[in-house]
Amino acid sequence: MFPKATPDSSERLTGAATAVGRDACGEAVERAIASLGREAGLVLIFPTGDMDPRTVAAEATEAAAGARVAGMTGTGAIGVEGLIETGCAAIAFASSVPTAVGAVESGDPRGDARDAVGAVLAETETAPYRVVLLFVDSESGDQAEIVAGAYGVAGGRIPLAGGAAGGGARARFADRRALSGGVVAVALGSTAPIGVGIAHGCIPRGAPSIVTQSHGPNLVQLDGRPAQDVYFERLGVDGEEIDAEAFEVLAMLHPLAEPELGGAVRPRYIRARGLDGALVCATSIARNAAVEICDQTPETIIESAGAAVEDAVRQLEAPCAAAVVFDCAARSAWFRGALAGRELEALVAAFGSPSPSLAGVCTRGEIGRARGAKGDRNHSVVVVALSAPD
Amino acid sequence: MSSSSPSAPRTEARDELRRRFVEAARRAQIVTIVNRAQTEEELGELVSTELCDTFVAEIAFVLACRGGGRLGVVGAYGLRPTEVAQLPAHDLLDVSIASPQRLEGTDLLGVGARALVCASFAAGPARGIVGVARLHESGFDEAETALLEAVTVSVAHALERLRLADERDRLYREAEERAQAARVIGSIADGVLLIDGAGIVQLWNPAAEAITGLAQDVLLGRPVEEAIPGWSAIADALVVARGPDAARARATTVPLEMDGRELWLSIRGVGIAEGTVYAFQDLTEERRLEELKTDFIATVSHELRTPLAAVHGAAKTLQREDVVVGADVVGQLLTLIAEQSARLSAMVDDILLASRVDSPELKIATEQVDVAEVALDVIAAGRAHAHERLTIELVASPSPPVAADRDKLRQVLTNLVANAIKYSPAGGRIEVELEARDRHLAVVVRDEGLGIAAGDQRLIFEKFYRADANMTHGVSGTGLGLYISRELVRRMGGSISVDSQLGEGSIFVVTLPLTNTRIAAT
Repeated sequence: MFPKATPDSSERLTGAATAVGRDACGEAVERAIASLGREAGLVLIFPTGDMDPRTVAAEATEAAAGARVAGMTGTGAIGVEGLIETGCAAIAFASSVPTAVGAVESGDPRGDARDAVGAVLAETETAPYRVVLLFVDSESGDQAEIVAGAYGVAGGRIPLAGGAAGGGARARFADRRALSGGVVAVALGSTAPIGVGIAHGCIPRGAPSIVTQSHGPNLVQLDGRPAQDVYFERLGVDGEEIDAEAFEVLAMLHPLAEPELGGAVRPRYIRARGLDGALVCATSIARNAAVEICDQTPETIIESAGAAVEDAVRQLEAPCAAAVVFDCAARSAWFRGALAGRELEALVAAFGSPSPSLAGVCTRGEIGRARGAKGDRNHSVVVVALSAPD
Repeated sequence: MSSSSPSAPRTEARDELRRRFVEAARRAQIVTIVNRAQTEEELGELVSTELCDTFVAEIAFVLACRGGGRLGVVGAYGLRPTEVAQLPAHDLLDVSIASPQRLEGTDLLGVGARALVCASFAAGPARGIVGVARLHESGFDEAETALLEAVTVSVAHALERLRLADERDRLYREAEERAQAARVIGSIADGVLLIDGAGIVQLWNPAAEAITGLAQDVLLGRPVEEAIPGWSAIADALVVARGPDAARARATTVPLEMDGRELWLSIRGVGIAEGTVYAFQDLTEERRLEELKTDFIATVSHELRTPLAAVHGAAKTLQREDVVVGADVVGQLLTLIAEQSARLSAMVDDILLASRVDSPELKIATEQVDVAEVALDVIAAGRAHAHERLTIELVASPSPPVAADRDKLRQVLTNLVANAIKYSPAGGRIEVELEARDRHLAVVVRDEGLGIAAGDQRLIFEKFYRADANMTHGVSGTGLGLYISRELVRRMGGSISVDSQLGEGSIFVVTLPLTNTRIAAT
C-alpha cells in the first residue's frame, strides 16, 4: 500500500490497536505505533466520548512521539476485536505514507470544509491516489454543506469519508487541539487505489411520500399532512402514546430515506419531533423530494456491514492492509445483549484473513462519497480500505 | 446490505412505478430549485449541484449564450476552474443540437469522464446545453436522458425568465435614473438646454424658463434658432467641450436679446451623444452692478477731483510769493478751501455711510420727532444754497410726532431737498408737505424740476445708480444719496417712493410710523 517499491516496502505501513478504559488513549496510540514497528507520521485516534477531550489530545500527542494526531470521539470505538464502549482505537501510518492534517473553525461549515480540505490536498498532491477523511460536528451545521465544501475542492476523483463526532464530548482532534466546532480534514495518499465502501441496512416500506412542506431539516408535511402523522401511521403506531424515549427508538430503527433514480435509497436520521407535527431530520430535505420510511433489522445491518467492506475492497488492486471504519451509532441500537458485537464481527470477517489494521468509530452521521457528488449519510457504515504494498 | 439492492421482493411493475414516481419528484425538486434562482449564477450552481445528486454523477454543468454570443458557463459542479474554462462548449452543442446525446467511453469533456449525457435548448435569443457526466463506468439510460431533457426545458425557461427580469430591472433602473436626472435638472438654478443633432430643443428646464421667460412647452420640439430669439447671433461664440474636456468646459458670457431686454448669459456647452447640452446662468444683474460700480468710480473720481482742484488751486495761490493778494482775496480763498473741504468730507461721509447703512452696526435711535421742526431746519439750510429762482416752502398742518431717529431723518430730508434743488436748475417751487395718513406720517418733497424717466425710477434708490450718469444736465453727485435715504427710512420702519414725469418734476414720499404705532410695536 501507499509508496511503491521503497527499500522497506516489506515492512508494515500501518499498525492499529485498541485500549480499554478512561485513560486508554495514550496506550492505544503507543500500541498502534508499536504494531507499526517503525516511525509513524500520523496516528488517527477514535476515543469514546466519555473522556476529557483536552486530556485525550495531550496524551495522544505525547504518545505519538512526534507523529501528527487527528481523530474524533464516538459513542463507541471500533477495533478488530469489536466494539469498545469506553476506550480508544488508534491506527498509525508510517511516516513514508503521504498524509496531511488540517483544521478550520470559522463558523461557516462549507467554507471550513473547503479550506481544510484544500490545505490537506495541497500537501499531498503528488500522491496518485488520495482519500480525504472529514471529522465534523453534527451540531455545527448541515453536514451536506460540509460535504459540498469538501467536494468543491476535491472534485469527483478523490473519495470522501468520515463522520460526525459522537459521545458526550463530541470532540475532534488535530494534534494538540481538541475542537468543538469546525472541520478536521485528513488526507491519506497512496500509489494504489483506495477503496471507499458505503452501505446501510434500510429497506423502504410501502410507497414513497412527497415532502409537501419543509424548512431546512424540519420536514413539516408529507403528502400534505403533518409528517409525524404519516410517519406513525406507516409504522402502525398511530394513536399510541409515544414518549420521547420510545420515539428515539422508533427513529433509530425506522429512518426516512431519499430514493435515488437507480433504486437505492439514502437514509435520513430523524433527530427529534418538531413543532406542528414536523419531523426534525439530520439534514435538509427539499420540498417536493420523495421520501420513504424504512426498516432496518439486525439482519440487514449485518448484511450491510459486510457489503460495505466488500464494496471497499473491490476497489483495491491488492489485498486490504488497513481500514478505517465509520459506523452509525444508530445501527448499534439493535446490537445489545445477545446480539452485541455481531455487526462488527461480520464487518471484520468480511475482510478475510489476515485482518487488516483496523480502527473505527461509532458516529452521529457519516460521510461517504465514492460516486456522485453527495456524501452526507445517516444510518450507514463507511469503510475506507487501503491495500498492501506491491 | 448494499444500498443498490433492496432485499424485499418487488415486482418489476412496482419498481417501474416507484422509479417513475421518484423521477417525477426529482423533476419537481429541480423545477422548484430552478424557479427559486434569482440570478443566472445561482441557477447554474443550484441546477448543477442538484443534477449531480439526482443522477448520482460527479459532474454537471449548464452552458448558455445570448444572441449570437459565445457559449459561457452559467454553472458547473465537480470541475476545477481550469476544467470549467476548457469545457468544449461548441463540440457539446454540435453533438446535442438535434436531440439529447449519451456518450460512453469518449471523454468529450477531457476530464476523465466515462459517461456523459447532454441536452441543448433554445429559448428566445438564448441557447445552451445542460450536461451531466460520471467518472465511473455507469452509462446513462433512456429514462435519465428524458429526465435531463425535461430539466433542460425548465432551465431554458428559467434563463429566459431571468433574462426578462434583468431587462425589466435595467429598464426600471434607467427610468429611475432618468427621473432622478430630470428632478436634478428641474431643481438646479442654472438654465439647461439640450439641443439634439438636428438642432431641435429637447430639454428646457424650469430655471431656463425663469431666466428667459420662455416657456418649456413653446420651445420643446422646435428648432433652436426659431425657438430662442437671438440664438443664431450667439451660437457661434459659444464654446462646446467634448469628451474628457467636458468637465472643464469654458463659459462664454454673451448678450441675448429677449423681448426688448438684454440678458447677459454665461453659457457652457458640452457635446454628448444625444446632442449638445448648454448650462447657463443669468449674469444680467451682476453685469449691471459691475457697470454701476464702474460708473460710481468714475463719478466719485470726478466729484472728488472738482473740490480737490479748487482746494489745491486756492492753496497754491496763497503759497505764491510773486503774487500779492489782498486780504479780501485771502479771505475768499480760505472760504473756498473751507467749503470745498466740507464738501469733500460730506462726500466721504456718504461713501462710508453707504457701506454700512444696511448693517446692524449702524445704530438707529427711536425717539419722538417733530417732523415739521426738522423739515423747517432742512428747508432753511436748503434756502441758503438755493439760487434765487427757487422757492422752498413747508406746507404743513399740525402733525403728530413720528418715531424715528432725528439725525437720520434730518439726513434723509436734507438729501431729498438737496436733490430737488440740484434737479431744478431752471428754478421753480419746492414744497415739503407733511400729511398724516392712517398710522403714518407722509413727508412729501415735491419739485418742478427735470423729472426722472420712468425706466430710472425703479433704479434710483439702488447703490451707485445715477439717473444722469453722464451729467448731461450738469448735475453732480455720487449716486449714493437716495440709496442711503432708502436704507435709513427702512431702518426707521418707514418707506420711500417716487413719482415723476420727465420735465415736470418729481414727488418723493417718505412715510414714517407715528409715535404710538412705532413705539408700541417696538
